[in-house]
Amino acid sequence: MAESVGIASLPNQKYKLITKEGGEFTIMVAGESGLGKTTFVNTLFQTSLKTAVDNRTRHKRGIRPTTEIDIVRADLEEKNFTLRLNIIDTPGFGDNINNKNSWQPIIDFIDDQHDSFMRQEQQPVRTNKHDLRVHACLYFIRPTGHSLKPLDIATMKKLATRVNLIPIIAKSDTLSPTEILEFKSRIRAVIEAQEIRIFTPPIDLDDEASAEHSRRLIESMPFAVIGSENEYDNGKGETVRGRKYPWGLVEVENEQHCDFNKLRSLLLRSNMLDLIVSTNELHFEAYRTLRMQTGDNTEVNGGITTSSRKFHNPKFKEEENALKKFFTDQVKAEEQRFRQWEQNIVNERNRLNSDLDEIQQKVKALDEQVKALQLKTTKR
Amino acid sequence: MSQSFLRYKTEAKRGIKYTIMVTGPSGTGKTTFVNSVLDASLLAHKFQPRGKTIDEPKVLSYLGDANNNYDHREFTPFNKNLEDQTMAITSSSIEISDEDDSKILLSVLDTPGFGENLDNEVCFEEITNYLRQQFDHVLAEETRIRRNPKFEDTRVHVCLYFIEATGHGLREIDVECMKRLSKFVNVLPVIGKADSFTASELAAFKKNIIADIEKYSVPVFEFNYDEEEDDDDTIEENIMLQKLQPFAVISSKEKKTIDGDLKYVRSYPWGDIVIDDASDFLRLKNVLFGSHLQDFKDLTTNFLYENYRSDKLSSVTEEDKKKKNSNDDVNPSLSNLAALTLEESASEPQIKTEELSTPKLNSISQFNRDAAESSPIKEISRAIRDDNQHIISNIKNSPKLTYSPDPSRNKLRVISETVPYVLKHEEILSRQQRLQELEERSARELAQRAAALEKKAAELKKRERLLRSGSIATSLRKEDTLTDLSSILKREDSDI
Repeated sequence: MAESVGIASLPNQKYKLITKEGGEFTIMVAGESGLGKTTFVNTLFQTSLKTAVDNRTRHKRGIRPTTEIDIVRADLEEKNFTLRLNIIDTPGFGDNINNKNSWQPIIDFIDDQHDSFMRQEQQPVRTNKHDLRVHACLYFIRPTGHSLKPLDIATMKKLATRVNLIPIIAKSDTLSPTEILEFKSRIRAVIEAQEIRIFTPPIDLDDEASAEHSRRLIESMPFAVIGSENEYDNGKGETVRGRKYPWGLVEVENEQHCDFNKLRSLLLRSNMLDLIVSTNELHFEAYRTLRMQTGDNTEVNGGITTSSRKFHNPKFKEEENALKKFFTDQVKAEEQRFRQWEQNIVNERNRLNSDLDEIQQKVKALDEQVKALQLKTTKR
Repeated sequence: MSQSFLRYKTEAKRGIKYTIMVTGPSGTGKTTFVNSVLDASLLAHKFQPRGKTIDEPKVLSYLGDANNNYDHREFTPFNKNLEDQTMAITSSSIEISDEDDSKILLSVLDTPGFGENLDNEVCFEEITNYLRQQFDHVLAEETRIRRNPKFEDTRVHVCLYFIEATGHGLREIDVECMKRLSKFVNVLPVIGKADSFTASELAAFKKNIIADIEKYSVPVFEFNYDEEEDDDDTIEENIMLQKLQPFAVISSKEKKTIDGDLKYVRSYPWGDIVIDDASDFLRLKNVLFGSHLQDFKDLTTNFLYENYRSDKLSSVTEEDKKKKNSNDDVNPSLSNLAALTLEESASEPQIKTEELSTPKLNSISQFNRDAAESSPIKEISRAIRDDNQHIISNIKNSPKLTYSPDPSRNKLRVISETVPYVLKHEEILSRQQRLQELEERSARELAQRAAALEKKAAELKKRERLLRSGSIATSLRKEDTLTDLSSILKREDSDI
């Protein structure tokens, strides 16, 4: 039997290459504050990548925070394979009374990454590309048990056209199993009705097992998760990540308790490559064609937009307009007041002048009388 | 049988009127809390289908587009325009009987839609407007000569503000809302859905909230005690309750039998929570309907309402004083207030029925339309045209009062809008002062001139004397000159 040519070993060579290179993965966590984003990230990668915001720093930021972008980089190593991980957090999102356009910084950030990657591609030397394109965006939904809020819908609509959006129900340990089912079905209905395109794992028809797995994942979307950084003994001699309540221990990795395992499988174990590929082929391509069609001179244009976009936040614009209006109103009112005063003073001056005239005439008359008297006396 | 006992009996028969408001972002467990505290299905859950078990609540005020009637009971995935601002205040009533035959007539005000909009500024404005209106109604009733025996006191005694269980602290909307509400009502902050916290997390969250309350000086209700008057138990209880604030509650729709008793329970795959034991639920219930019920009522009437009343009346009477200074410029005054409030209260029943039958469209656009049709200035001038005498006659036959139906609805609003007129009035006053100063200055000038003239007159007199001594003859002519001089002097005097 002849030895095979060796073409079949190409995947093995690729495997070695990729193992050496490592991977890069960028994940974004968005959602209102207090939904356990930080804890979730730490739970997902089983390390303390991010620390929770403490009260003092919160006070420093003031009561009216704006949405910020916070990037954490980490190299994770598992079985000699390193993954360069970028985690993008969006503190301050949805914290205001008026949340109109509070999603703008997030959208801007995503667009900026696409833009910068596109310009790097156009450079003559492009070996060291710096890539922060968001591969997956986890949108955290508050476990209200009702439905999606307008803020959620508006933000998800904007995000869905730009990244792989994965909606998740945060802190799901406040909803009982029946409540979760109801909540999920309502969210799914809204997502469908509002035509929000969320990320769904591709169903591979050739591979029965993986297709079944994907179907199961799609069925349980949006994932209800909990997060915890602490480990407890679950009573069977195992230490598990979980939340210890007086009424019981919630296990993060227990399928009965939450969908954490499914989400991790989607994000890391089975569909990470799908996420990366679809970001590149779908979202980045869409952005690129859009830019190529609209902006003819991208290089100059791009430079301007990235720097000037910060100043084009519609929220600032609104505030500016309000301030301007207030200012002009104030000036007008003051001017009106001064005009009134002036008028009064002019009137008063006229009155006094006429008084003066009268008196002067009287004086004149008296003088004349005096003169007449003098004349009389001199005559005598 | 003494008279006081009879009165007590009728009071107990009629029941104690008690009004609670629950507010806070939606999805914090307000409805479930109310239902489990009262052990009844008083409020409908969001998206709960209509049924016979729950009476439809009264809609007290409604904000939103009339054509796009947003109903929180019906779930529609095809959402309305995201920028729409909707919110309602609804009221549901229930009777609770205590063991000792005393009844509580409880009204629970709910605020569906609070915090759900993109811009939530309108939400707490809507609530404060409603609360202010209730104070105004009472104020109007108090100023009437002949009072309405069927008058219903709709003031809200206590407001439970549900804080979102973020684990961080208060958010902008929480601080702002509690600050504004606390002018009109006792605000009790409550942590809803406390089952998302472990014991240590809850303690940290409470600490953060208290720090925030202090930092932004939010005047929430405090459990105070009088060391001399109260007995030790009360003092101890109050200290304990104050330490416990903000109350963390867990509530549930589900009931389960535990140790023979049917109790509210939340059942999870990882365990059941009996809400009575696991949270401050029972303590809060006791505070609301037992130990502090009277405190809430007293504070509302004796402190919050009194403050509001004195502020309002003093702001109005100040204008009244100023009115005396300037007769040409007229302002809304105390006398006018009486007239205005009278008309308001006379037309009140009519408005009430309107509110009951159809959700009153209370949107800003409507208000603007009203304002455009009858501008506040016009109304004030109309109100002022009835001078004091007319008002007295009005008061005398107040029950059969004649009023123009159109402006009466906005009359009280007009009073609250008098602030710009007060400012305008101050401006006029300052101008008047300036004029007075100018006048004084001119008077001084005139005086100087008069003095100069007097001097001249004195000189003339001197000359005359010289003339007299010089010539004794021709007496006729001399008399002539004398009369002439005296007439001159007279004229000068009048000038001065």
